[in-house]
Amino acid sequence: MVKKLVISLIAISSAALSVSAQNARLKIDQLDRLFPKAVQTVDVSVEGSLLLMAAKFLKTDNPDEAMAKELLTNLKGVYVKGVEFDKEGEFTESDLEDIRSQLHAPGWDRIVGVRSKREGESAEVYLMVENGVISGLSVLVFDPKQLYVVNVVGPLDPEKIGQLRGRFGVPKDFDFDWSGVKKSF
Amino acid sequence: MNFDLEKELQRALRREDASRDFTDRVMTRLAAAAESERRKQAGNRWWRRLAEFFRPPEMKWSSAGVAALLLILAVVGVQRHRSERRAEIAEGERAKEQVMLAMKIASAKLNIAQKKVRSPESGVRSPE
Repeated sequence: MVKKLVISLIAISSAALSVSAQNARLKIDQLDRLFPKAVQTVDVSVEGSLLLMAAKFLKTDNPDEAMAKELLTNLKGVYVKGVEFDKEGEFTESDLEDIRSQLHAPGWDRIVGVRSKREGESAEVYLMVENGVISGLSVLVFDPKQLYVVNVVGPLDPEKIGQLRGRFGVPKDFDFDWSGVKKSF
Repeated sequence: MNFDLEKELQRALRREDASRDFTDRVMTRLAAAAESERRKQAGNRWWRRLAEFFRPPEMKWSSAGVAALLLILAVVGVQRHRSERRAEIAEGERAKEQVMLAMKIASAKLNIAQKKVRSPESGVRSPE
């Protein structure tokens, strides 16, 4: 009886974890239709066993790769879509709304929303936090000629994100308020 | 006592016809003796028995053919393993490059966001 209860609890927890992982995953494949018009595209989708394989090939003697290897631990997926155009007007508000509507769903919190009206630039950072753990991170950056969406499905350790300072082009004084998020895995 | 030595000798040494199976018995014993001698010379060593097995010319050609086939299979097996390993390494390296690219882009965009937050000219909106 106890054994059945434990097994049921494990099954429910796994299901809950997979559901939360699915919620943190954004649908961004529809941006592929912008690729033919773009002069530069980025399309990254690494998840599951491919993520584990990538972690195996990251070298610990290279500081950037060693940091990436640490961050990849426990991650479920890393997704990036980016397009850059020669001229303005190649993507529309509806393309942005497709993404934003998902980020406005319950669970996501926008921690940064910055817009420059003069240059038409905008940068938004969203976190999905469940029980004090970052289960998802999304960054939406666009200006009239480019659009980038970054979606990381966690769990993510905020301390390890902080260790990005000085790596991958992140400045050493990089700082976001991760307050309220505790490290717990 | 009347003892005729000559008659006794004649009787003892008189010719008698061999039994019907005499020839067969002699031949069987001869063959057994020859086999026993052959085995004695061959000894109990298994490799000697193996060598005997492959002695006939047709066995020599067959065994050469089998050895060649096994060698080919071994080479094909090793090549296949190497090819699969190379493919696995290529896939792993590709995944690694993708992840590094994703990290760089994510960091760059977070950097942009932070710069905008700190810029006095941007319209900063408070988080939801």
